[in-house]
Amino acid sequence: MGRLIQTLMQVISPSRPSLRRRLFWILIATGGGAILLVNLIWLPSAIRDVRQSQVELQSLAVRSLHEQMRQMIEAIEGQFKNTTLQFQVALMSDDRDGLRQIAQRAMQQQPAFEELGIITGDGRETLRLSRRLTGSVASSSSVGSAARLAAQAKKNTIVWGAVAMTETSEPWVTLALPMGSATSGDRASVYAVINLKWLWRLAAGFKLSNEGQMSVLDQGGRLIAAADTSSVLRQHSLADRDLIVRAFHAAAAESSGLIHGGFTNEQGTPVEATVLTMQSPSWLILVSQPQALLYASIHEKIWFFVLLSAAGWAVCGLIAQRLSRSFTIPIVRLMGGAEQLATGNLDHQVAVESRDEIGDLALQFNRMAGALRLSHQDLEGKIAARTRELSALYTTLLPHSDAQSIEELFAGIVERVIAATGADAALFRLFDRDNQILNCLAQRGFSDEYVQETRQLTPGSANSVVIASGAALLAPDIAADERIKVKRQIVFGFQSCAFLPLAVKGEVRGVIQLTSRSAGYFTEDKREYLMAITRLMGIVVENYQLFDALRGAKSSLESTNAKLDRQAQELLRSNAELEQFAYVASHDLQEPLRMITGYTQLLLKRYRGQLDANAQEYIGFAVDGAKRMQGLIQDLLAYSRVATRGEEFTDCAVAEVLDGALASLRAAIEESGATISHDPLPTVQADQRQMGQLLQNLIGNALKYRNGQAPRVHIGCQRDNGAWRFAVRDNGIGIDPQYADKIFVIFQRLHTREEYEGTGIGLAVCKKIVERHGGKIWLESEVGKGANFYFSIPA
Amino acid sequence: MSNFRWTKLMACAVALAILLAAPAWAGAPVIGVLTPGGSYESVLDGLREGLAKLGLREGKEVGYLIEDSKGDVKSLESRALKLVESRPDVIFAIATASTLALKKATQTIPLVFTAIGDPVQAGVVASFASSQNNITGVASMNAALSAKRLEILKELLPHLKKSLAIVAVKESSAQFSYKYLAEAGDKLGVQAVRREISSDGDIELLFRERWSAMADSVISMPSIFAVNHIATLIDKAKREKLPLMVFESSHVEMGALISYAGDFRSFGNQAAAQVARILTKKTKPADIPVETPERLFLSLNLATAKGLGLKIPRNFLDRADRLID
Repeated sequence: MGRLIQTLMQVISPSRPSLRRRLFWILIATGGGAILLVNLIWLPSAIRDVRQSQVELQSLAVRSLHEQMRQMIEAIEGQFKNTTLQFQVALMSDDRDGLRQIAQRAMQQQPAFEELGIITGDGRETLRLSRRLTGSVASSSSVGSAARLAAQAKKNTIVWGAVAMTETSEPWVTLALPMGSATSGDRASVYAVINLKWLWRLAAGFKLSNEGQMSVLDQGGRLIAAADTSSVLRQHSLADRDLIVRAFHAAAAESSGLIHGGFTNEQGTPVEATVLTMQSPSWLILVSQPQALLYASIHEKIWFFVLLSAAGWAVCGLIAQRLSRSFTIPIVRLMGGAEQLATGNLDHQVAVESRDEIGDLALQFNRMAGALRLSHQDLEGKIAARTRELSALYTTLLPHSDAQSIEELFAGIVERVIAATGADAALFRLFDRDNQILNCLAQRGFSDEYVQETRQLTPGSANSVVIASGAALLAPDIAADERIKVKRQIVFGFQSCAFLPLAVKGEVRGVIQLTSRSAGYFTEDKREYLMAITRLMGIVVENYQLFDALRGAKSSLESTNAKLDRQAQELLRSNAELEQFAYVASHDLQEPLRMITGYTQLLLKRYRGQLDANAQEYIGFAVDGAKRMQGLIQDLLAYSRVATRGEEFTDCAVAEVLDGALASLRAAIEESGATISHDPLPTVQADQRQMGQLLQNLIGNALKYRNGQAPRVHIGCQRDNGAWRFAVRDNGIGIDPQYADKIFVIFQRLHTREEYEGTGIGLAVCKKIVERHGGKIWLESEVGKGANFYFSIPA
Repeated sequence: MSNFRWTKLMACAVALAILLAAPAWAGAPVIGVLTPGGSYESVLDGLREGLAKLGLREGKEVGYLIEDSKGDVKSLESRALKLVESRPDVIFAIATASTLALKKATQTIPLVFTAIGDPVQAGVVASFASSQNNITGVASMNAALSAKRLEILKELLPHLKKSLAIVAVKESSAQFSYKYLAEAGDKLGVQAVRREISSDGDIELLFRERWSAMADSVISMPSIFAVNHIATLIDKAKREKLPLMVFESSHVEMGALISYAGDFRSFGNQAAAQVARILTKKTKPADIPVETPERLFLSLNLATAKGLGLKIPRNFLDRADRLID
């Protein structure tokens, strides 16, 4: 259950758990759960009670009706029997007039008698008196049925016939009762035709809650009385209803109990009914109520349950909301107060709005805040004082910026420390761990003899204890202090001393010894102050070391910078000379070459017919050589200008640069039938012209160094550790890996000019371009398997 | 508070009370009544009484719109039309002629009749079980009872040979009743002497005749005409020293010798249950069977008998339901 609640709460409030929310839901769950539980317990029993009460109501009603009908029938039967007796007496005395009078009297006394008569054993009518019809009017139906009934009747037993209904009358039933002795040959019977209007009146006047109705069925299951008399006159039968069948079986078994159940009545309405069987006549008395109305009260109860639960939940929610607020708001206020205190607002007071535990807590909180405020003020005062002291001390203890050594530095500090601590003497020593000695940095008030005597670190001595433990040792009375093994200080008149660890970056590097001629001077209450001074000393040492290192670094840096300046100057001068060379090469060297080329060509042209073949060949060689020289110079110039004539780096779309390179190589691409493909190419910071030259050189080589099939060149690109790594792959002749570095050297060729054109400067230019851009270029290849040139450009 | 303010307050209270009560009255169902008047008045009294017992009190839960023809049979049709035009919720018809006039005037407004001798023979309903139209009611069975009445008269007057039967020829109820009477007379050995009346003039003529020379008893055939002239009839019978058998016990109280019939007031009571079902449960008249009188009463006027010099047998006295001195 707890986990369920926790999960529910996490679902409902996925954010940080809130006490208020938790309290709210716990209260809701508790209160609402209790309401739900109570209602769930109450509802089934309420429904059961409704059903039970309806059944009881119906049972009471049907029993009441049974009683009324039984009384009426008993009255009818009683009157009938009485009249029969009187007939018998009159017959015995052959008093025919008397018979008629008896009959008239009987009909007057019993309104249900519609007709009375006497028939003989052979069916002859000896008397008939009708309420409406004259005696001479034949009513064969009544006589016929009476005769049949009489034949079935036993002595002194009234037989009830079937209920008869015609279109011209109301329903009626015939009774018969034999007269005379069984031994008599002439067994006469008395019959009576009973009008069932009284039964209809009973049905019409029946009232029960929820539109309850009564019906009476004859022994064949046919309606003989009902609230809706038209159903009776239409002679509806309910014999096929399961409930009626059960009732008949119960009657056959002579069981007189009530039978309850549901069925669909003659009007097609589902009803809940209670049935009771009469013994004589064998009629069924039925009391029914429409299920819809019965269930309506149950539905009302369910709705009541739902509404009550909803109302209960709503009230619980409201109470939970209020309670959770009332509980948590003071806590939230306390939290706010705590936050205020945390931010330093010690004047903040929490409102005390109740007199319960939370109110007490708020009061205590305010008292605590007040105490904190006072304590803070006191502390601030102390801190301010101590800060002032330390600040003053620190100011006085600041190292001289112009101290050339740490000893010179502490020499200046020792006086200040003596002044700050009130000591009579101070000794600053650094610990030489290797030699186990204490080297004096500075001292004041001690004799050199003492300093020398105590230089060696003795196990168990105060210095060794302090160095080992890293904790200060304060001795208000040197003489009485057993921790001080060597009490040489006493000789010099010192009564009290303090040994303080000098720590730099957490490591004890030395000891500060302070002594006083006053006994009881260095007491424990001074420990914190002395340790503060010690820490300051440690900072001083550390700062001095840093400063010293910095000074050294600065000096080294200055020296390096000066060297770099000289180198830069040298480079500038070199570049300038190179540029001048390039200029010279481009103009001054090329000019004579052009002359050589031009005049030798002129010679060839002018004196073609006059020179022999050798001469012409020699002139050709000279022209070729000059041209080649020109090419070399131009390439060299281009190589040199990679660095000197490079443009500023801008956003360079490599795809566009590639397009430009491919445009320049169009003729070669078409001639070779090459296929050029590429990956998506990025934009990099580069010299666009030089990038174009780089791609053109690499692709040009791929086209040139093909192996007989159409070249396929692919330019790939991927990100690699902060740089773009490009690849130019081909399916050409490949390169032996041993020459992977050599091919990038200027004018280095792996093939002759006759095999492949070129000066051997292309890849050197590529390398220089890549290196200018801060990248690298390299090759992966095998002979006959194409070449993969990679170069990287910083991203 | 000033007088003016009190007056205003009271006026508002009264108006409010009226407003609250008005809907109850304004929306109350209306029962139209077509009655021949005269002694049929007790039928209407019985209806009022029966409905009041069922919670439908006149002027509160239900209203009445009454057309009294005062015995003028000819005016029944026009009165029926007038009643139908007023669109009551249900119409109550007393006697055969009224019912037939209303049946002609409407086939939709529910109609409840009483004091009809034989509603099937009169063409008012198809059968007792269901009228199959907008009509139902309580049949008086007076037509068939005419035979029984002759039997009872014969019993009272064993030497009875002839009986004067006054038949209002314009009313079918009288015609049917006479038919039963004549048949019974044949079997009982009593001759039915038929005298027809259709107007006041006929009554005058009839009353000028010497009845004692024609018959030794008089039987009144049920009709509106007879009811409206019953006092004159009773007086004539007394003067002729003839026993008069009537079809309504209140007429015995008026001086007729004997009656065997249902009770007008009880007819009204009985019909009230049917009217209530139609008004409250909206039951169709075709679903309400026609009823017969719950009880038939044998009424005897001893003073009239004494005046006629008749000795009433003991058994008659014993079985009489009502003895009037």
